[in-house]
Amino acid sequence: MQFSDETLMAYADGELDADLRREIEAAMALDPAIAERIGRHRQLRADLGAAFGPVLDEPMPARLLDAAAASPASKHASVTDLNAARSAKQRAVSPRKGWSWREWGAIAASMVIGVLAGRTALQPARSDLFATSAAGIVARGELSAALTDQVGGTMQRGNVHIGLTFRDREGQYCRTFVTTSAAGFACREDNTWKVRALNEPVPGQPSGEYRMAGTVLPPAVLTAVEDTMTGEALDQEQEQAARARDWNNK
Amino acid sequence: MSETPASTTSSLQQVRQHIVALLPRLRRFGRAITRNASDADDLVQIAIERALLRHEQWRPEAPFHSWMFGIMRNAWIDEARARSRRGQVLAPEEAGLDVGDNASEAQQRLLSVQKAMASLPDEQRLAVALVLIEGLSYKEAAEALDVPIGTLTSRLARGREALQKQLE
Repeated sequence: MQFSDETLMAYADGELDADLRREIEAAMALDPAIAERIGRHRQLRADLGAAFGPVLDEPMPARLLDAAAASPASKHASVTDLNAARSAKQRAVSPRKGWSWREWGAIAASMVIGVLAGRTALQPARSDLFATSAAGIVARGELSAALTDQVGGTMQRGNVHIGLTFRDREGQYCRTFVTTSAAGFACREDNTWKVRALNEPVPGQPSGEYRMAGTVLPPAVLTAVEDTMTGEALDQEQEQAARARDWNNK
Repeated sequence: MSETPASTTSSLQQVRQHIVALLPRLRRFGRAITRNASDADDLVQIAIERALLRHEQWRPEAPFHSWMFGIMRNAWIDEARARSRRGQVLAPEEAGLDVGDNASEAQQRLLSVQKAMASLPDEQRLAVALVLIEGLSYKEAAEALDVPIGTLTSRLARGREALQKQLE
């Protein structure tokens, strides 16, 4: 069986229908050369991912957040070419790296939510991310792992995005999270992540990949964060230091 | 408890939220197509400004990333044209500039991948960046580039072949 290189590329890219896919898989089993050609295509994708992926973890320049938060009507400068953008950048003196608390607040826009805090009876839909215990709701699984491991405001692994890290009045570390189906924050207590605020989308809202808008915290969660937070949010270095202590505040 | 009906969420706010969620990927796409970190962020900034100005053109039933990557692609093409009119040379690639002899083999590999990407013609580089780096489907990538799917796949195939040749 002969396949064109374009067909094998489409296979490697996951673009073929089930019938053709099965044909190719059968041919692969008989002819290692076909498997090798597909392997090359996959390797290239992996190489490109490795070469450009680290950009995702770099601190987000404040000017880009500012641009996203700016009112389109207030733009009077020409934005037609890179020179204009560059001179705008030189005018803007902004030593900030990464996400500041105020930026998160400014960006959060209107989403339909209800915050369910503390001990209120709460039945999260994604029970693989939350467990209910006598002490309330605690993070588990992928969410718990992300809260413990992720550092850096722009980083995302899997389906959980960790945003801000801050301390409550007792000095416990708290972190905000957004998953594909919920957003909230959790604080480190007794070696678990206790969920202090959680919201899940209201039924009837449009569904889809961007329903939770990826990294944006709903306003009621932000309000709850503001009520809990003492001092400033942690920067990346402080997050790393806290992680090194396993988020223990002692 | 504050509640705002979803129906009042303006398209501008929706576009803003999508942009923020997509920012890290916009930067990565910018890096892949411009060959230069500072050009990349400038390009992202221009695209954000254009997207906010034209927020009403985004149809919520279409994937936001295709629309946004399309705006970035147009901004990049405009910039390339403007530079050639000005007789300006494109900014030199940064790849390899700050790496000494003791760069690890893995780093060397990443740099050679970036260099190979930079050597591709624009249209192939855009196709490769959207499908192989940003993970768009052929259909989404074709929409972002505003070309038929057949054109997209043939650019992708040629780009891929050129990269593989350089890297092997």
